[in-house]
Amino acid sequence: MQIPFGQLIAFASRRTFQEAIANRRWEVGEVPYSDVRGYHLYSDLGLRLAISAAESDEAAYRNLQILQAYVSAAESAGEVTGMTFLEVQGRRLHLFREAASADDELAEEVRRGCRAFYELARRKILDVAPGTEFTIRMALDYGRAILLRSVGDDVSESIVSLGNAANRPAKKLARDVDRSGVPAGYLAINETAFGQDENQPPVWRLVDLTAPIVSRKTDDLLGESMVAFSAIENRARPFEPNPHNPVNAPRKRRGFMFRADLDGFSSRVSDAMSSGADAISSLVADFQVLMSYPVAFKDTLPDGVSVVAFPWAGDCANLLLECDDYAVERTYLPNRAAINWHDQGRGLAGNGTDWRSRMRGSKWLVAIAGGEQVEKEHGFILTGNVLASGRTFHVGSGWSWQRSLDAEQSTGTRPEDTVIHNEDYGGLDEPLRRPYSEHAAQPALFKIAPFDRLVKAQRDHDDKGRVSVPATVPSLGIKVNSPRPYVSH
Amino acid sequence: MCLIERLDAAATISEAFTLGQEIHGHFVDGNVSFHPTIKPNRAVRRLASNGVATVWGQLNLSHQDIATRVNASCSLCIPSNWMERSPALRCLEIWIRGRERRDTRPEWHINDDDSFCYVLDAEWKELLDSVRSEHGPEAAMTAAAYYCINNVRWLLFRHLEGYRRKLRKWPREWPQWAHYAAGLQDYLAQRHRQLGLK
Repeated sequence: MQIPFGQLIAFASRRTFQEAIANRRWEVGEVPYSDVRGYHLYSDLGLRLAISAAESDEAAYRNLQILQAYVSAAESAGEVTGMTFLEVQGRRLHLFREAASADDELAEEVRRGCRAFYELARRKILDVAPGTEFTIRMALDYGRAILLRSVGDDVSESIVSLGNAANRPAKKLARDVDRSGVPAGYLAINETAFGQDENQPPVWRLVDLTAPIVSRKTDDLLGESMVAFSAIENRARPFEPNPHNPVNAPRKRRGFMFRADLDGFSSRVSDAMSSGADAISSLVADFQVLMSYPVAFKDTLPDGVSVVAFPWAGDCANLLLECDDYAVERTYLPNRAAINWHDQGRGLAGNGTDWRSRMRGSKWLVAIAGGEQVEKEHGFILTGNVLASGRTFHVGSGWSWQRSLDAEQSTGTRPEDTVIHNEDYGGLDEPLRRPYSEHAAQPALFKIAPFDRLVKAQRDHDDKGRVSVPATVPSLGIKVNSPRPYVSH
Repeated sequence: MCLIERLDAAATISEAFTLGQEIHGHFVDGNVSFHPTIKPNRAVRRLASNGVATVWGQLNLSHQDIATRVNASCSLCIPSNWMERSPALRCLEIWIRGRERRDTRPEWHINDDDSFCYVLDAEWKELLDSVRSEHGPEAAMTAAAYYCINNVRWLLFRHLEGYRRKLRKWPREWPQWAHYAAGLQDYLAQRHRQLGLK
């Protein structure tokens, strides 16, 4: 059921939503969503990889402190410019300001807000971690999007957004700088959307965020943001266990970051937007069901693997496959998990839900990164809860967090592909490496495999498991019987 | 015990020690302990078997034409009568299937005392007797070590596969003997057929 954006944000809080249901102000089966126009701002914090990889507990803790300072800076600037958090995806933030049309004056105010946010974040991060090398890049777009609550096993109080205006800035930030990406310290603004033509291909204009602030209005915004920051800082004690913190944070966990992007879903969103309210309702209903896909997926994994869910980033699921025995899981889990995820999409497994019909022709792209066995920083993810705007966001940080994101956003992939990091390719048992070939765009980092080849390699491997043959003792040339176990007592 | 009997017993134990060393040679990493006089009591029956030597450590599970990087942490306790009884295998890896419930242990070839039944002892004995009579005692020891390790790898790898694939039951297409007395009868019947006996 469609509701105003303000109410959706209130419902993002689990407590508020549960209270609404308990007080019969909301029906359990109804899916709240907003179909709304406005400004979408994405901001990426880039940390030197050694820090982002969290190679020691101290660095990991510092990493989350930096993250909280960055998020609080965004919240502060957002408070004074009317921007609200939709998502906190680790080092990527997504803020939104509702606006029925792209107004020049409003756009300028948002732009000034970005400038104030940049400056405030820069100062606060350096307060927390003096001398830290980092970058901030932003992208701003305007247009229509469908917004709904993140549901499933994830503890975050995140809002998922579907639509071009919400996708385009994320894609722009994912690009390498030498491939029309956004340079460090810059804000990219989609000029065509600001010119009232939000459905046209974007034309990006770069704004330098590092230039000294000369505008009085921007300087005032910065001052107000700093006051807001102090108030937020006093409210938030994010890394201590507290009643608003449903998991103990921070936690260092070992496993594989797993990201699954619903390839082709964007065009369905566009079709629904041009088709009317029924199509939007149907889209929302399907996506709401798909957001519980990770819950069914986790039942297909071995007992020694548990799933930690992070908020969906648009139509991309983000999970950590936490492993009891990482050394053993490295030998096969990337393939097994990818097959199970892709295969379940066909409705062959799972809990009886016909996932395929919900996907309506879309297919998954799976990206996985875990890391090497003995490298200290590999294989570990630091998870924690960041507080922003009175909501909790479950975030992660680490080598595999970043590498899996790079893999998911790499170019040249096709639907039903699986992209894994070279380190994880090296950890697989040899027969399970066969489906992979070099990633054309990033051969130094990734390997890529189509689904049918993954399945074939798995079948070949399974077939070998059925065989039991006599063996010859090498030094003697004597044959011993084929293995055949028994039970005696 | 007369001197000849004592010498025989010493020779048997010495052979078991050597078999322990042979088996240890197949491990990636590990050790051998000798304990000819220790008899495990009821309290430790699920941790140790009667035997004179124990090999423990990391065993890589590659076998036949299956290559894997997985090493299993396991132990093999060698009895003094190793020509009749195969070394007792124990493995506490988290991926071992069926161990948690008494009724699922036989399905996955786990005995009541948590040892694994990776070979039928009658089959073991017959093969080693044949090697010994044809090639001598040293060859029998080398063959025993190889036979033991090959079967151990095969069985533990199926446990690993069962874990990876979340299998609850031993798949029908994986070879096994029938359980308990029926398995022995099947084996004897098969041998009779092979030897053309009625």
